[in-house]
Amino acid sequence: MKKTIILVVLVLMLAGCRFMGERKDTLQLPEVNIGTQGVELSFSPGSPPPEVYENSPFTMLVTLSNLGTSDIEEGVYSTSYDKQYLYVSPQQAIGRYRVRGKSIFMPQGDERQVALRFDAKALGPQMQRYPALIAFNTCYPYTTTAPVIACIDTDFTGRERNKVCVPQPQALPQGQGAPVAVASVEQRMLPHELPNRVIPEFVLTLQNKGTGDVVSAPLFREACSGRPLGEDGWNMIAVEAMLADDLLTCTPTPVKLKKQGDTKVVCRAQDGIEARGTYTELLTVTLNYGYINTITTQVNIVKPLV
Amino acid sequence: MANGASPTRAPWAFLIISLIVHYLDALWRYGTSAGTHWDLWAGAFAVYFLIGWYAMTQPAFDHINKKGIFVITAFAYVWGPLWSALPSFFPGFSAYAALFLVVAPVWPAVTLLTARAEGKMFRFVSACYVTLWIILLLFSLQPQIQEYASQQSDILPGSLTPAQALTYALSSTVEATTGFFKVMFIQAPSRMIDEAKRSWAAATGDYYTGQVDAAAQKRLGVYLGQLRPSESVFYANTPVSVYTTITAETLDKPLTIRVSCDATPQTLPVIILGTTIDVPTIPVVLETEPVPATTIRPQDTFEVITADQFDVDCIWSKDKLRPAPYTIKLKTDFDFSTRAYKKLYMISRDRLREYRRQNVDPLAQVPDRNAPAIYTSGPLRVGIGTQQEQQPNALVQPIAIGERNEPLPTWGITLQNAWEGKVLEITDVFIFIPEGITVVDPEGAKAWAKADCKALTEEEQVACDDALVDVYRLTQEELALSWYRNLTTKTIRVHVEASDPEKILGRAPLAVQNFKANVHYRYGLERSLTVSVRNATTT
Repeated sequence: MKKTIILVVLVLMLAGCRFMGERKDTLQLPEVNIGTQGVELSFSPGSPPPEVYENSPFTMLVTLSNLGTSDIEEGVYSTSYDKQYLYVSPQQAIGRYRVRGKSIFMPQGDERQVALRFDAKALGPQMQRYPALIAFNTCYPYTTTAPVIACIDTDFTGRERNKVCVPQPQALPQGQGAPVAVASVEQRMLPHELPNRVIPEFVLTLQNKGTGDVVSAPLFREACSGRPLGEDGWNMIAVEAMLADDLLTCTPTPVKLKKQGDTKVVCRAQDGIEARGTYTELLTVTLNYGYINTITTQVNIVKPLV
Repeated sequence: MANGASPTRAPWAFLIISLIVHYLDALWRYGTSAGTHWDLWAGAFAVYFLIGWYAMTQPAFDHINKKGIFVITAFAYVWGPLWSALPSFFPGFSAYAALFLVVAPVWPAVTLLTARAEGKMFRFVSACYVTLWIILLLFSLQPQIQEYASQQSDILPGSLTPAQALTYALSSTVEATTGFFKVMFIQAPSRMIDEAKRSWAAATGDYYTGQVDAAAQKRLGVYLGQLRPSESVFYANTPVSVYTTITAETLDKPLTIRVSCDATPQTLPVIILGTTIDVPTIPVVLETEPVPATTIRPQDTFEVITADQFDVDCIWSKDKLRPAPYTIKLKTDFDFSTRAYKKLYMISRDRLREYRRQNVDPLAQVPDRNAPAIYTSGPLRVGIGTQQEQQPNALVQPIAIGERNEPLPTWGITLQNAWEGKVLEITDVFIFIPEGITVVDPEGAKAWAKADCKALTEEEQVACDDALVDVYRLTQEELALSWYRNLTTKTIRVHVEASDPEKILGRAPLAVQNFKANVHYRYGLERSLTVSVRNATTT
């Protein structure tokens, strides 16, 4: 009997050890700095209704979900609609909003809902139906922050053995939690005129991976109006890069995003850095731009037929 | 057998006698049974026996042996009753039974098709007969002939009298011939001319398309059913009555339909055809003045609020129509309106240039970016478009709005008759231009006059807002031009300019606008029918 009790206790202890081992999982923080979305627009289900009667009101609820990492302090929206068949008060048709981005405390991002109350007007004699288009536009400033672990190899001679890292191109396919992404980083070391210094150079490839259009950050408000933005208003991105605490010189900046093909920006430490072997360093790329997203829907205004 | 006659002589006498025998047989025996009318059947048997014997004496039939002549004679004897019985087993033949009975008598057919006879006249008559037969067979395949046959509910196998059969053949022939001539010489050329006009207009960039509202649940307008006689035969001492069904549907605006009927004696060739076959009852009438109906029941003017269907009878009192074949026409006319709209997407010209340079499509999310003009259901097709749309691969939408008072693409409104009736008169044309766009009349052509929403009918005013649109109306001087009478296709051009770009574009990247037109017109529909009025009967 004693033996049995001892055996049971041993088994329980062993089992307890196994469970203890499983609990060694640590709390994993959500990965928020990935993705290629900014503010995403969506209509609430059933809003606006696909069909409304003439001379009757309806509500359109648009959800603005910030699925990127940048907080928006002053986003704007505007509405395009057929004024001959729909009415919405001008105060509702245009507005501003704030919406926070993803963070480890709010990994799904914040969202705002905009409610627009429309009135369907009379169709007039003989008309049985009119498909009215409503376009909702949002324009906002956005920032992409791309932290990249760069391998700084100042050893041109190759004498150093057992280097901690090997410089190689890095692809960043998952995005950085913003519609404009740094798609890849290539790095190389250029010789400096001083013998104990090198110039690190990074070639950044930028891409608009979102569904909207890029505008110059200072002109994002105009993008939601009917006004022209000028040649330099579209697809302009301000690029900034820091290698540790050193600000790199990027050219060109602002850069005009190509619609087709890769857009390359070269950033380098013009003054060079001290050659002190091979090591890893944090390269932080920051892109500033404005972004415009549009969502459309059609509402059929119908006449109640007897 | 040779009987001393020339073997190549045409058997004219035999042909005439066999024709007479056939028609007398058709008149007396067709539709009867041997049990009840044994005397007729026995008499006919004897007559056909004589015809067969007579055939044997004809040199033209030397190539047919006695057995063959016996078979043909027997076939000729049962030919009439065969067309009484056949439709009972094959209902599809019922409409054509009388036609075959009348136009294909066995012995005359054998004579004209097989007799070996010289002489140009005989060959000519044979050829005419074959041609007539082919034409009638082709006609019998036409849906309108079949429809006509199906309408004659009293013409049923077994109940047909020979007179009815002859009348049916006559009316079928008249109807078919009239229809054929109408199609060949009136409708087809008219359609061809219309199509040529439309093609010419399209080729010269003067034709703008539209699409009827496909999602419309109601078919608006006035529809006439087939015009039918109340009796299969009319007599001069009885009233003549025809009827049809009028279906009308409208929305919002009451519809007034005016009905009139008249009977016109048919012109000479048809009368001759009629009198040739029906000499005892239909004399020649040379008057051609239309005779209006004495009564239109229930009334000659109808008002439809939403949808209605009513039967209309046109009646000519007794002795009003003299014995003759008449073409009866039922005419309706009504005031109707068609509305059309064309969706426009407008954008600042500079911004559009920027979009294009950046390879950005500003209408990427617009589902109906190239939608044609949509017009409401009705007899007039209204197309709206710009001249640019005529060009292949043209970038029409969005429309670029530039500086103040800068001309915009010229618009065109094409009015086209879409139904079989007539656009009798265009009474009013309104266009609704987005605020900020102005109609200009180049070179002093004052086709359009500025109006406002108050110029519209009460029903139309509810959908008009002077703050959003500028209303223009086609001037009465323009409407008085002959183009707007009996219109088939007409394009009206509208020259516009951007008088206030800011108003047009509003405060959003894309301005959704509308170019609308309301066309008011009087439309006429017509149905016709041929009836025979015979001499008064005393029995």
